[in-house]
Amino acid sequence: MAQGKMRGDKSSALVIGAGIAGMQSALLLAEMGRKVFLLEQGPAIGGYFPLLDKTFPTNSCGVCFMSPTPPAFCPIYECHLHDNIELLPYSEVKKVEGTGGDFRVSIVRKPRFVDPKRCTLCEACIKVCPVEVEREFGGGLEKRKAIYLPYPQAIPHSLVIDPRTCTRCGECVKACAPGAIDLDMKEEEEEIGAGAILLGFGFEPFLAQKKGEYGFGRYENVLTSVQFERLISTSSPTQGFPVRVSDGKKMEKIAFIQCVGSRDPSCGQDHCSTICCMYATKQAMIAKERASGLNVTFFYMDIRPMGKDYERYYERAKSEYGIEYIRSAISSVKELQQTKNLFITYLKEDGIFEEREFDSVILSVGFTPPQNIKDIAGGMGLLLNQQGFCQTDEFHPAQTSVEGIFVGGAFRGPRDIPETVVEGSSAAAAAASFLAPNASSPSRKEYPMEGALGEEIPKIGVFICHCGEELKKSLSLFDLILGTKLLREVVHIEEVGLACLPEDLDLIKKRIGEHGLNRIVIAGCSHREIRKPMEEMAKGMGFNPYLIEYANIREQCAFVHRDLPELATEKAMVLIRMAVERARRIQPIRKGSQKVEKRGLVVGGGVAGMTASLRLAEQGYEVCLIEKERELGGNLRDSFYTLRGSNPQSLLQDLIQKVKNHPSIRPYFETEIIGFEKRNGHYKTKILRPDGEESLEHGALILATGGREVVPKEYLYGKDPRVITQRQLEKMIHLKDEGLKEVRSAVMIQCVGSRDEEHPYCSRICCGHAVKNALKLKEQNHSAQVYVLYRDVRTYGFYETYYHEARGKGIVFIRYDLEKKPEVALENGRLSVSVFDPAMGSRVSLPADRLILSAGVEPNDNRDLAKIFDVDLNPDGFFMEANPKSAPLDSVDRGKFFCGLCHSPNFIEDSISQGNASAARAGALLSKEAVEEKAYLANVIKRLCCGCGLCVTVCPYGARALNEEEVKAEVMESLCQGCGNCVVACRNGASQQRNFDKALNLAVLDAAID
Amino acid sequence: MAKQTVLKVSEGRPEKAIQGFLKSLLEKEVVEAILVPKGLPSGDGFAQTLIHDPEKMDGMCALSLTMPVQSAKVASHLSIKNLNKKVAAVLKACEIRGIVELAKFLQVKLDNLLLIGVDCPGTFEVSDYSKMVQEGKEGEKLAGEILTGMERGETVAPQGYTFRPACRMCEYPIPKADIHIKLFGYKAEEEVGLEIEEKLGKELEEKGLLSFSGNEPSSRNEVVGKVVAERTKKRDAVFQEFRGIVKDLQSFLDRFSTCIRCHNCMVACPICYCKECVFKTAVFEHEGDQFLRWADRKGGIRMPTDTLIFHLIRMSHMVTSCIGCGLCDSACPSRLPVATLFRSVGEKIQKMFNYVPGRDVNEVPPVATFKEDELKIESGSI
Repeated sequence: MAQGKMRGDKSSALVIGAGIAGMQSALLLAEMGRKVFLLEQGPAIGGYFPLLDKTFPTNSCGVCFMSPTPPAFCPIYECHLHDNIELLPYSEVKKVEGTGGDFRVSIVRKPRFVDPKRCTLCEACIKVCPVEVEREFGGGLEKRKAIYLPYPQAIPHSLVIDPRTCTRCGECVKACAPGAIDLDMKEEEEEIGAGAILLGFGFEPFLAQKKGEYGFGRYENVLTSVQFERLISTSSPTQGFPVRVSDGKKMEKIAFIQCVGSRDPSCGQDHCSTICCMYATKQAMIAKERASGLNVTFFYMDIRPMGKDYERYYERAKSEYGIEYIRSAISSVKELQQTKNLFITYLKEDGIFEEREFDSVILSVGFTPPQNIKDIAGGMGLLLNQQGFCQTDEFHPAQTSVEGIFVGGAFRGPRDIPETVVEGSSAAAAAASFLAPNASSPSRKEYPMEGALGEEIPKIGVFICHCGEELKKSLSLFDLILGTKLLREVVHIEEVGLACLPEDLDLIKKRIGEHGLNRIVIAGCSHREIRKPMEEMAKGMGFNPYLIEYANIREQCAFVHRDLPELATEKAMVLIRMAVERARRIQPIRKGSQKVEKRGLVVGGGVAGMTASLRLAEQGYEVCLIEKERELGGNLRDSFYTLRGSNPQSLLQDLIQKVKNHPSIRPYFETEIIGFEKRNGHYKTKILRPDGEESLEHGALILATGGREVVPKEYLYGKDPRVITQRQLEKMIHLKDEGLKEVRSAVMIQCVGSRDEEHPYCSRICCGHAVKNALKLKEQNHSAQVYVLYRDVRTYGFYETYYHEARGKGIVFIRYDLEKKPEVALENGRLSVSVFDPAMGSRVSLPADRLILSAGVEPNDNRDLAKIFDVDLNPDGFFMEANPKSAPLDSVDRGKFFCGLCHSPNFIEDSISQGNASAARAGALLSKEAVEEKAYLANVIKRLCCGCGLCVTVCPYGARALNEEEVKAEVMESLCQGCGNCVVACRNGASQQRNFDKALNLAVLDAAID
Repeated sequence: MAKQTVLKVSEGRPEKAIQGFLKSLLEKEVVEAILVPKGLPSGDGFAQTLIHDPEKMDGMCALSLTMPVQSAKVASHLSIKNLNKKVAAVLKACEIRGIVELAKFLQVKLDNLLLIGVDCPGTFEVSDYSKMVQEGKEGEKLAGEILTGMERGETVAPQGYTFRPACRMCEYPIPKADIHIKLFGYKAEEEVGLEIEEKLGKELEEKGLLSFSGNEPSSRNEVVGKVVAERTKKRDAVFQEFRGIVKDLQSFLDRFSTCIRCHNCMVACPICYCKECVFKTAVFEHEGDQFLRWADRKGGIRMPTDTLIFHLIRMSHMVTSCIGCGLCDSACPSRLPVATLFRSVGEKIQKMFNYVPGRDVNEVPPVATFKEDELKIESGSI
């Protein structure tokens, strides 16, 4: 066993688990200049991310967006490329020693048996490997070899050998041209030093075998939702077309069974898994898109789409996609012998049994804590909650029970991607605050100065890489070299074997010097593979990396057209011609930068705004906190207890004290925003204080402008004093109001000002509030009968246990439909509520000494503010994020963030996470001395510009403006992301983009068809 | 609500009455100047003229029967930079629609423009009109005959002549303007209609320019309907014939092979607003051996090159906004049916985006907006 010396120190961070939360934490800390070790037990990072082809609620891929600057927004690639992140894949934690601020972590690096630095992914080894086993990726629907790639985009992008199934026959070693395979590789131990540890252990899908009655494992056509997700992915063997497992026939009639391993104490899973309703709905929609005529039926208890824009998604599933949802309990699933169809018997809400036949059944499996988590937690001294997930304090959601160890994502409980991204960011913020005193040491590599290139005549060197002889099997390199010789300005052509490896990189370097090459074309694998080593080589010798062009003749020619060598060669020639044509015309790029104004502006002094301010200040930045009222606190001032039993008032006092005492936070009271200017690199906001106007310069903006309880318009609210809202009830309970003692019967109506025409979204928190207040009311007044009239009970996650408790305590829940809303009557001075009870099949009339309306949440009116700050609102008036998955708190233009109720309805806990997260994202920006501009910036040729403003309209990043005086368009370089929209919109080429100008593009197209 | 009135015509000369009204706009300083077509000294044509001195209004002609330039372009030049005083412009319906489109692209500033629209019977090619005059058709008499026809919704060209093809298939003869001079359905020897935007109407009334009384003739709606129906029928017939001939890339190339890339269609087009067309920039200056490679690839190429891409790119820029004025046709030295091409493609594309160019200045052009479900392309010919 090899033992190295300890790497990392008190200023660095160790992130364990490289799923969505872990990657997010790692990226933000790395952006803040911290050294980050990102450890992952599997052979590739990414967690469940790569399994998802489409994500809700947009049904778009959402993982990465096409952009001339690769990679954009793909966390997996960004982690891979970040200078401050060191990936430790295929590793496990053995021991954690030390305490918060100074951890020493022993890790074991498992042997891959393949050297990622030498493996070129030619896959020659896979062809010769005789062992075939079930592929883990996607739940075992497919097969893989003992040597395999976890999934096509896996990072590290290299094969791995599974020691459990490998027979050590040695065929792969013989087939491997670069000599990357070593079957004698041993595991290595290492010690990592870190000031903070961040946990992103994630979750595991519930083992469907445990619910044997559904037949998983026995009936071929019963699948888990993990398997179905894989089946409908465009990268699946059927390219996403849903077919039956038993006979490969088209699926025609399928059923989803919800809550498999959720809300089910009988299998030790009493929590709600929160996202199954949504992911199953997404799967159903995608499946219907792929296979026309597919019939989909859901069997469910409550539908719980409570995230931002989820309710609309669910409504679309019903109305546009015709997906059928049946509220029911499954009685049995039986397989029919001949057809292998499945026969489901279910009990409907009205007590009647029905039966239906389906050709496949999908089990929507819930979330369980990761396997062996008890051992791991024990080793760290970590407390777990009753369900086995990480225990955290309600008001410190990123903090574990151990000082210096932070957590985010599904390890804290089931949650969706946006929340996971938020929590990964939140954990990064908490860790950054904790690490703050330990100076970070951003490791910046120094490179030699670049020579003056560009003006001289191009001297192009073309290197054709055959990838260890692999490409020669389908391409004629002889023809390619012959064809390349005819191209103009090519002065050197050479065949190389492994351009990505040091020996060939050195050779290319040598040739640059020998022949005075000033443009390089690499014809070989995807630029995704080779760009990094190539650019390193170039920078190391002072060669501008933007003068290297890539022609992908491997994946796009040799691999996909394996059986058509002549055509593959022809296509490769075209790609080389195009790359050479580009090389002739490109110019070196030296990226500019814009100084960062190291100050944050936070608008709104509620719980989210105060939290964000504190986290930013703790990272060492000045913060201006703008509050329109005379005091801080916002809605928190009216909150007296939480469902989980914490005291919001003590949180309020704590936050106010900390904000007031922090030397870097400047609070402004009774202050309004009256103006905003965007400058290159920073913002200038004009405020109006009681004593006059002031201008504040800042580099980041956090909007936390809050929300409010909807004022009910129905059920006699405002007309009878006994009709109150949950918030009013909470205050009465808190003040031990005498009147409540007299209450014999209290009725609560849910979804008042939610999920209706005016507010077509779920307010998320009202079900929890109702359960909370119902329990408290019962606690204060045992004899009171409490009725809750609901549409779906949405006590997601661990809140489900309180719902369970409420039912146990005799609180009566009666469901109603929007079409049959409860009716309130006032007779002889008595209030009564009449509602149709579907379980009884008739109307019931309930006396109501108090009628409590669970009024929804709406954002404060942000229309003016949105206009001033140039940010978007969604149709419901909440601020709109750049991307619901990858950037849930960010505005499209950089440096503006949202958190709290102005973003979406949330519990206090989530608002704190969002406050933390927005501060982490802002901090990542402010930590830099200067923002580096993107390489492929747009620019304006003023002579040609007509000032029509189309480029301003289409720029998604707010990087364009019209100079009113000159009537010409301008580019704000610090904001331009190089997407090229403006170039396309501009009619006469007044808008151009570096190295993508119109003349160049046309010439490259011409080269393609020459 | 716009206000209605009539201009009384004496001596059977409606142009005189309109002239008097326009003159009073200058005299009462409602506007600083008026852009209006004026007869050429030779008498065989008209030119848009910017008149400041009311005395110079003689010879102006609201119902000019030719359209040598599209005044949307003139309005753009006039208003785009520092037009600080009010200017009125006497315009045809298609010119106003062009102005509306250009305003959306910030190429016309409407703040100081007062748009005066005139019901349009159609126009003649400049050369045809000149020939008619040479053949002894006196201008005012010709106009008189056409005005008489407009009362009944019948506009008949003199024997041996036709209105411009674009005009014969134009479904928008009625302008939307601040001041609208109405001719269809009116007995022009006696009176012409006047419809004025409310606020402006009040101002004119206060300044004593006119008073408001009377309604439109009851027949007007029917007359206009008849004209629009006839032209729509003509339009559809033209589209059908054109789509029968030009149905794919090859037939397009065949039909347009005589294009000499003179760019006249672009110069004449009111929608083509670029200061300098991309086809005149270095982007299309090819290297010499590029031509040789093209010739080599196909065995031979027609010179000049880039005619097809010129039309396609121009079409992609202007076709959603094409208001069908047809000046590209009139400008084409090779007599190519460019206007029919753009209108016929335009009809499909505009329908696709539910967009009517020139309808309303507050509408966002399709190129500047995005709706998730906007593109439901039906395949088929152009």
